[in-house]
Amino acid sequence: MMRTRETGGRGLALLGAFALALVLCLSSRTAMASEFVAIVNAKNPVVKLTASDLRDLYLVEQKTWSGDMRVTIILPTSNSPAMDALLEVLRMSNEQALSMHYMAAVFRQTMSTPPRTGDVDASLAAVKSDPGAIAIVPRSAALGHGAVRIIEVDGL
Amino acid sequence: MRGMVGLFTGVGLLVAPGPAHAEEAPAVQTEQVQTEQVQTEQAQTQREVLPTLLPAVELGHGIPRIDLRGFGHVQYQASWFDPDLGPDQSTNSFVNGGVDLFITSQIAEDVSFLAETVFEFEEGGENVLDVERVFLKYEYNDALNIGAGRGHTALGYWNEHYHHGTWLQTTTDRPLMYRFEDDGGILPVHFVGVTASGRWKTGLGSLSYVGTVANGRGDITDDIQLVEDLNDQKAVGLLARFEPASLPGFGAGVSTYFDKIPDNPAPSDGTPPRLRSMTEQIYGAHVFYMGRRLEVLAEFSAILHDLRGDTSHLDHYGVYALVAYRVAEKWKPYYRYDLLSIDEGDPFYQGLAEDDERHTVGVRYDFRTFLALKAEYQHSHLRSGSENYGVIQASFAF
Repeated sequence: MMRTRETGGRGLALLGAFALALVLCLSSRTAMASEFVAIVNAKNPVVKLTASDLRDLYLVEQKTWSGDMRVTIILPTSNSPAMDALLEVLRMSNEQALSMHYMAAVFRQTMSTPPRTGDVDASLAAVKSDPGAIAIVPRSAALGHGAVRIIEVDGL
Repeated sequence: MRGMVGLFTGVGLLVAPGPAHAEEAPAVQTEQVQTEQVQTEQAQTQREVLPTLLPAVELGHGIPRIDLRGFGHVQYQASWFDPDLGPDQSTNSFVNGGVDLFITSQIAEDVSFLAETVFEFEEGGENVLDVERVFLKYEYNDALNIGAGRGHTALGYWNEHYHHGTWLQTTTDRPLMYRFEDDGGILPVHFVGVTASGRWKTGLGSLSYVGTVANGRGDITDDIQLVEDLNDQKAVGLLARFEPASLPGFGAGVSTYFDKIPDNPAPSDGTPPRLRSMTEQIYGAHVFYMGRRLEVLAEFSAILHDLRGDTSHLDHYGVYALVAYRVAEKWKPYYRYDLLSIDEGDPFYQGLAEDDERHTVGVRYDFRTFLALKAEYQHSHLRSGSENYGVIQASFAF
């Protein structure tokens, strides 16, 4: 009994040390490269997102907008600069890590199917037609579309 | 691999051959010019991946689709024991690790279903079919999801995120404290019941929770009560986790679980009878950091058993800590420390588990996106002696 209590204390101490070390070591922040923006349907009431919000949306941690409207995420085309910018915000080293994340999310029943991908035109079309959709596109491509609204991410 | 049918493709999925750029706006052409400047091996690998993430669900008036996915692994393993224990007990063998199939279906926009079945191959050539999960989930909003069925008990990080698919996890196997019930596990890692779960986000970070009400333990640890409950008192559990906005990837949580374990006056497995019921209290804590390269995960669990009508207490503890660091994109060396401390004389854990301290070192190599190769060495200190174990494993998802 005594030995297991000591072990329990040792285990808690180990856990505490890990937590403290992590909190002290981790402090980096990221922001999306300024030439890319998030776009949503004009009917979406959201006007601003933080990098943290964008992470939650694309990592399927947040699945509804305000008003319980379902989020539909559209991924940039593979190996595109827009994808690179998104991966930076998601704090992922490559697209493989993102694929693994989505596979794990399906396994945990966080989502039933992986998200769709689309080039700029496809992303714009998807956002125009789906009130809950969000996509990442070059800022220049997002301008001049009445049914699409640019969402500022971390002040961009 | 380029042009292959998508690895993520399931039953009824549409298949796209890869990136398509038939007609693109000037802005997209700019993207392409930039892309051509980074033709590295890493980029080649990346290009193979996400075109396989395809649209699948078509809701509306049609019949819901199902997606079939799965995991599997094969491995070569060898173990050798402390020679002072007596005759040489060294073994080595190839192991077929079984196939884990899971079906998902989006029944409605806010209702999903998952069924997971594992085909296991036992010693002696026996094939076993194990239904691991059958779970229906209704998502009212992010803060409230209601689920029912058989699932993974919310005891901490590992049990929620990893299970039979070894490809998902960094190491080749589970921590000692999270062994499955039919593999000498001390925790109730599966449940049959209902859950309420959700997540709130504030400026400081996100707080998530999972509440569980379930059939409790059976009369032995391996008895997951699927269609009955030997006592009317349900097991209840609660997990809460906080992930601060200022430290993306970091989180910490606690969990509790309470149950009443029924008596077992006539055990069928030859263990001594247990004439009184027991109360079980489980307290857990976990911290994690999942970064671009660094992965840190540590969990602690205390299991307290009290025999009804007896003043004695039996306290058991489990802890593990995993550190991994991804280098050169595909390589991830890791180390894991495991500790299991079992009070002797617990009638519920009779002959099930013993004190164990284990060091694990290994490396994971992501040979392909959904195929990982792992090489691992473990050294264990048990009450009965020490054990060395080595394994080379190929794990995959499909």
